[in-house]
This record gives sequence, C-alpha cells and structure tokens, in this order.
Amino acid sequence: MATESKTNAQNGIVRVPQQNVRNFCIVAHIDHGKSTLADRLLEVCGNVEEAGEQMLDSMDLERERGITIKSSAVRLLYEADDGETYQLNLIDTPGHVDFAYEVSRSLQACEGAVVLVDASQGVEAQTVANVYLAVEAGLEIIPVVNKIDLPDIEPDMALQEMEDAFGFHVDEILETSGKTGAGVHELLEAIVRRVPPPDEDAEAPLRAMIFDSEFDVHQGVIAYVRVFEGRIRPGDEIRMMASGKHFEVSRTGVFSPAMLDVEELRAGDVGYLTAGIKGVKDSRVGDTITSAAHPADEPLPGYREAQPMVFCGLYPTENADYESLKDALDRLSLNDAALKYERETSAALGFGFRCGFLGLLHMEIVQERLEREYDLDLVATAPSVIYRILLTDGKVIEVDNPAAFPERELIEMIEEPIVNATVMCPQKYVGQVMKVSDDRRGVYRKQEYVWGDRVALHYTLPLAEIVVDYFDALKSATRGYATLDYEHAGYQPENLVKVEMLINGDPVDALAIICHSAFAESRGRTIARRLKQAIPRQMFEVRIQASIGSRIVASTRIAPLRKNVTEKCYGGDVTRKRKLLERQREGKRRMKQVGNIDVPQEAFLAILRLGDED
Amino acid sequence: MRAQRHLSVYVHLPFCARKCHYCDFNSRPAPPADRARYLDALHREIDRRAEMLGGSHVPTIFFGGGTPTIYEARELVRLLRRLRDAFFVEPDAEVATEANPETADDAKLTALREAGFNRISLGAQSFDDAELTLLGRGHTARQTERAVAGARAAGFENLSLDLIYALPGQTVKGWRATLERALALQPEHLSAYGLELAAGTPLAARVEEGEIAPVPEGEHLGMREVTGELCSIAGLQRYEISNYARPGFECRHNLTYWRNEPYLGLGAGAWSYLDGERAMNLRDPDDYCAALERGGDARDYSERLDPDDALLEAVMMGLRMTAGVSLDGLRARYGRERVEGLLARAEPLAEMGLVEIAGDHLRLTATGEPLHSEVVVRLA
Repeated sequence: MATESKTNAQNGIVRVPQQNVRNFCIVAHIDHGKSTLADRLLEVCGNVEEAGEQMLDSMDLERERGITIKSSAVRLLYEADDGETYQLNLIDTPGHVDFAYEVSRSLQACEGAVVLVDASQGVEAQTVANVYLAVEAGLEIIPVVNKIDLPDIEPDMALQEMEDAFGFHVDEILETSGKTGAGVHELLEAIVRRVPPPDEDAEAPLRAMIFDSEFDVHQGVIAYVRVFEGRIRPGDEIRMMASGKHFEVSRTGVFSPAMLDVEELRAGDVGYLTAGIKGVKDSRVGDTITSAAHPADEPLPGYREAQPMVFCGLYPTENADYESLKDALDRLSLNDAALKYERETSAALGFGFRCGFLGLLHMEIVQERLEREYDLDLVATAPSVIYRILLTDGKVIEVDNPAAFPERELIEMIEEPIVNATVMCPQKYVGQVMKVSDDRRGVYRKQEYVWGDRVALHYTLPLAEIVVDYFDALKSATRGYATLDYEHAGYQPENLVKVEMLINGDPVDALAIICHSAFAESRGRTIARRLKQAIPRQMFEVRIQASIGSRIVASTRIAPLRKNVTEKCYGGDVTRKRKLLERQREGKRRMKQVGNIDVPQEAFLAILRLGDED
Repeated sequence: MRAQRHLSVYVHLPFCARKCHYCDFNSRPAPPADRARYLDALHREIDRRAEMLGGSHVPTIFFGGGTPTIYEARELVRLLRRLRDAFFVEPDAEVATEANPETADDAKLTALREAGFNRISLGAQSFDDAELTLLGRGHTARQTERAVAGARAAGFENLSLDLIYALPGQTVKGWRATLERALALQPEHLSAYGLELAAGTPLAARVEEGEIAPVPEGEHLGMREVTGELCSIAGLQRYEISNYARPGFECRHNLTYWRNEPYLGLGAGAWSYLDGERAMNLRDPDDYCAALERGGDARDYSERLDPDDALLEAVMMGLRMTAGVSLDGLRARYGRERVEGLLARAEPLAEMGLVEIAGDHLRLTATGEPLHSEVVVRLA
C-alpha cells in the first residue's frame, strides 16, 4: 500500500506492508547522545515539527540523571531513497545493569540495534554489555559514532575502538551528530537496508510480548507490546500467560510519539494496548499476551519474574508522614512491578517500610521519586541482601534486615547469596579489577581474551558486596571502562557477624550491618568515624561505639556544641534573624531524632561505601 | 486619631568617616553634600510619618549609625526638634545617640546634652591600640577616655561603652585588660559583643586567608565569663546576651526591641514594627533620598507575620533578656494554646539545663545563654 501523505495526524494509521517494517532500538552508554539523536530521527520523519529536548524521556528524573528508566517506543514513517515508505519502530532501552532484564526484553522486541558511541568518549561500560545482549538476541547491529560536531575530537579513535571492541569494519560504521543532524539521513537509510523486516505470521494464535508498561490514572495500565504472531484489536479477550489473568482490550495503538489509536496490531507491530488493567503487577514485563479464545500453546521464551535483590528500610523523617509514605508506595508500585515493600518498625526510626529493589540504582530512583513526586522527607537505611540462617533448633529463616538478625548463640550457620560476575575491561586494568574484586571477597574463576585487548574476568562474589559499591569501585578503578554483568548463583555459607553501632550507649537498629568476621572490626571503626563526621555537634557529648556481640571494637566522641548565639540583635535584625532560625529549623526537621540526638539522613548511609577505607 | 499610641523612634544616620574592618552595617563614608541631602530626606520622612502617627507618645529616641556624630551638633539638634514637633516625646523620655570618640569633641557633647540628649553610647571597641588598628578604628584608647571625660563634663549621667571581644589574636588576659580600663571609666552601661566575622569584610578576608586566626570556642566562652565577673564587681549586671548595666540604666530603647514592642524606624534601611507589621526602608541612602524627594514613600519591604512566626520572633527576642520572656504576655498576644505547645517543647530543654521557668518568665540559664539560637530553634 502506498502512502498518500505523511502528515503528523496520519503518521500512525498508515499501514505499510510487513516487508517495509523495521523494529530497532538504540543502544548507548549514558550521555552518549541517544535521546538527542532519537529526537532528530523523529524530526526528520515529521513526527514532530521541531523536537523539544529529548522527547523520549518523559520523567523529569530521567532527564536530570541522563538515564532512561522506562523504555518507550515510537513509530516513524520514513520515505527512503528507493521511493518506498517504511515504518520504523524505535524502541528505547534503559541503560543500567539493574535493568538488564528490561533491556533484554526491549531487545527481544527488535530486529536491529543502532549502537551509539560518543566520538569523544569511545566505547564504554554498558555499551559492551548491551551489544552482547543484542548479538545474543540475534539483532542486526548498526554501529554509529555520534557527536562528531564536537570541536577537537578525533572520530578515528572511536572508530578504531569500535573495530577493536566489536569487530566492526571501519567502513560499516556511520558518523552522526544528533545536535546538527549530520549523518541522520544516512542512518535512516542504513536502518532500512540493513535491518531485516519482521518475519512473522499474522494468522497464527496471538503471541505478544510486554516489554514495558506504565500506569495511567484514567486508563489503568498501558502495556507496551511487540506482537510476534497473530493480531490483536479492541474487544478481544486476552490472557496473560504467566499470571493467567484475563482482560478485555479497550484500545490498541502506536506512539507517534503521542498515543495514536489504531484498529489492530498484528505480527511484527510494536505499540500499546489498554485493557482495564489495574496495576503493572498484572502486566509484567516479559509476559506473553495471548488470545483467551485461541490461546497459543507456549509463551514466548525468557519470561522472568522481577526479583528484588536489594533491600532497605525507608522511613519518613517525620513519623506523622507514615500514611503518606504508604500511599506513595502504593501509587508508585502501580507503575513499577519490581518494587516490593512491607511494613517494618525500627526502634530508632519508628514506622516505615522494608523495600525490595532490583539493584542500587533502582533503589535510588525510587527514593528520589518518593521525595520529589510525593514531597516526602525520607531516611533510607543501608541496603542489605537476604541471608539464610540455620538456627540451633534446626529451623531455617530468611532475613533481609540486619536489625532482625537473631542472637549469635541461636545461629548455627549463615548463608549469603552469591553471584557469578563477569567483568570486561581493557587488558591494562586487569590488575585494578582484581584488586577491587579481592577486596570484596571475590573468588577468581577465570580470564578470557574476548577481542583486541579486551579481557573478561570471571568472579564469584557475595551479592552483598555488589549492592554496596562493587560497580562504582570497578568504574572508578578502570576509568569507566569496566562492564559488569552478573547472575545469581545461589547461597554459600560464610562466617558473618552483625556489627552494631551504639550512640550514647544505645544500639541503633537502623545502623547495624552484617559483614564477614575478618572485616568486622575495621568496618566498625570506619562507620564510627563516618558517623562522627555526619552527625552535627549536639548540645551534649555524643559517644559513638561499634560492637560485635558484647565486645566494643571502636569508640569515638563528638564534643558538645557550647556556643551558638547572635551577639547583636536589635530592631533591624529581627526579620533576618528569624528567617535564619526558620532555615535552621527546616534543616533540623530533615534530621531524624534518634533518642534525643538529631541525626541527618546521610548518617544512615555512612555504612555504605566501605570499600574506600579512609 | 487613636489616643495614647506608644512607639519608640530610631533614626538611622548611615555615614561615617571610614568603614571599619569588621563592619557590615548599612554605613559608609560620604561627602558633605550627600550628608546634607540625607538630612533633608529624613525631615521629609518625619513629616510623612507624622501624618499617620503624629502625636504618638514616644518614650525613647535613639540615633544610630554609621556615626551620628559625624554631623554637627546643630544638625542633630534640629532633627531632634523636628521629632519633638511631630510626636509627643515624653518628659522623661530616653534620648540617646551613638558617638564615635573621634567625632565627640567637648563642644559637640555639650550642645547635644543641652538640647536634650540624655544618654550617650560611645564606640570604644577596645582599649588596646594595636587591636583598634586591627579593627580599622580611627581613634586610640586615650581618645576614648578623653571623650568619656568630655561627656561627663557635658553632663551625661547615662553613658554606655561598646566593646568587641574575641578578636583574632586576643587572649583572655588581653580582654581582661580592656575591660578593666573600660570599667575604670565607671560607665552606667556596657555592651560587649563577641566578634562575629561578617562575610565580605576585610577582617573576615584576613581570617579566611589564614593570616590571622579566630579565637577558639573555649577561649571565647572564657572571655564571656570574665565579662560577667568583672562587670558584676563594677556593679553592672548582665540583662541581655551582650548588655550589662547598673540597675535602672538598662537601655530602655533596646528593651523595646527585645520585648517586641512597637517602634518607628526613620532613615535608610531602618526597620519599623507597627501594628504587627515589620517594614524596612530602602537601604541605599541615595535611593532613600530620591524616593522622598519625589514625594514618595521610602518603604522597600514589609511583612505581616502569622501568629506562629510572630511567636517565634517574640521568643527569639525575649529570650535574649536575662529576665526572659513573660508567659502571660505571650498568652495574651499569641493565645494559650500556642504557649502550651511552647512549654511542652521547653520541657526537654529544661531537663538539659538550658532553660528555666522563674515565676511568670521563661528564661535561659547561664549554660543556655551562649546556645540561644539552638534553644530557640527547638522551642519555636
């Protein structure tokens, strides 16, 4: 079918034959210009008059942090040099190891991947991991060096690195500038020529994969789907193959990037559907949608339930905000299937929630969204993993909170979760990677040369070390070149102890950590020192101690504050002085009262970042 | 017109011979023409305010600066007369002016006293000439002593000295020597301010660059303690965080501020507190003059406080006084319930020995005084 026109309004509803459809994604490291380039593609294809800043990232947080949290999809219509009109479905992918599973689902929805590398930065961490995921998913790869408009750059270097890193030929690598639009036409042509069309059967029973979803207060869940087989249209009754739930489809459509309803989605298509689904937990990423009437025999491969791996306590600084925090978590979880939470009480922090996350970044993002979108002041305790504890009476319990650890005498054995980690880096950083891994109880398995001077190091190490700072430490030790990928490898017994922190003689449950007995004393000392830095002087002396069992292993004190007074305060000083005190009062309110001591939020994170012992 | 409105009057005279090294007030040197223009503007402002407030009872008048005595006595006297014309200045009113030892010659002091000024506050700052140089003062310790003698000869029976302590390099011993020389002059009143380094001042810059070292906290508190002791021996009692007086010579004008009572501020950057509204005049003397010359108002900013903020201010100011703040007074102004809340918050502070209740008053203890800000933040 030929297209009559390519106006914005009709962009989405034009049907092209399946051989003119291209499903692709852009794989790039943070800040390498993915969103800007995507905007340029939208502009060239007439989806928007002139793209605003980064159309695809819809959350403020995404823009600020320069990362894509939720992937999105957009349909472009492109009239190629061969005179044919092509429908290009651009699927955006998140770029962090926490979201590796989400990335793999997004890639699964594509036939091609544009690999973007910043001309001034070269190949970096995530890019490698994601390119491997893309290759594994059988995608056609189009390598691109971006930001060639930057002054004083040598694209040759980046070209060489891409050749070395991925084995691309220099002549198949494109050069673009998302900023000026240079090379964008060539890129679109390459997508048309190199990426294969979907090769799928519209007449088979429906199988569509959910690769993302978001929650809308009016319509419920909007599921982002890639249809692999069959067709789907409003009125159809569908079944989620993993959860078994049934829904009636109310809308089907595509993103242009605004939502545009279409009368059906069929094999090869990428789009959205709504079906009165109440929360994203009922439309899990990776699940397969089939027809209730004519179900497919098998779901699409690769579905995995989002499994929280990292836990921390979230508490409102003001106890009165507990209900608001609960509401906020309820609402946030409508949009975030991976977020788990349950009520928890801390002697030090009052009422709050034990929350489970995919990883550290996920944890930070949730915390930031709660503070920003729901205007809450929170205290987060240090992240923990799930420990499996065999008690002396033969019972086995799972504990994700150091505060809930049983007494030492009751413990027969403790097991902690371990992972098999693969770290890729240039040869010259191997020593640093080994040091960082050894320091974190990593057990070296093997080393392989992947290509050029790239090395893959295999380690087994405790998940607890990863949730603390392994990835950050790797990145800083390798100037950002290290790539980390890991998979869970069960549990392993370990000689672990609980280190408690005492403030003026009282243990503070929220400051307890679990760590290997060999490091326990030095960590206790480090935390005591960090707390001393983080807690402001009070009007009395504050003693900080670390203990293992009943043994005090570290002790320090914060001298009392003895003077804080305005010397001169007359008629002209009242307002200024009052405002100053109001600000101080605000600052105080953001602190948590532990006993009669004001403890700032940072103090609860003093137990983090223990790697860089100071 | 409402009868019997009471308000204190503050007149700001922002000019000085030179900017001192620690000073971040609204003050600056200026040529005579600017100073004359400013006086005219002040007269205009008095006229404007008199339209609304004329006839009010005025229990205290305070000329502050800058250096008010940079003006000739007749200029200051003319201002005072204008105020007497506009308001009902009570017969026993406290009429005070600040003066700099440099500009307080015998003739000027005599003229001021004769015209009705009955309290003088001399900016002595230190009795150590090296410290006076460090502060950028234009006078010596000897000159201060001469100015005191001149004021006494002129008939001032209510004399105050301003001192600054905790100067970089100063020791408790050095401060004691300054205090002793000051007290030997038998002032009725003494203000002793611990140095607060103000950002942007030359003194703060020198400390920042590490050229001179600030006095450590313990030392600073030691000096404060010595101040109380020596003043007490000399018959002066602390009645506010930085102020000491022979009984009956507490500065009535300044008590107005600490008791959160109404006042009218005249001049550039001066603040007024009338009918629950705080308002500030244009800060820059040129802007201030220009506004009044155009026949307009010199107001730059005003705010009306909600009761919670007003209570915070009342407590913040009231607790500066050694006597503390009257709880009945607070109840009458801000309601019983708010004061109950305040007392509940005061309890843990009382347990820590920072505040106490004495009769109808909530006040800071000796330990609480140097922690005034911490206490107020927790109370309000």
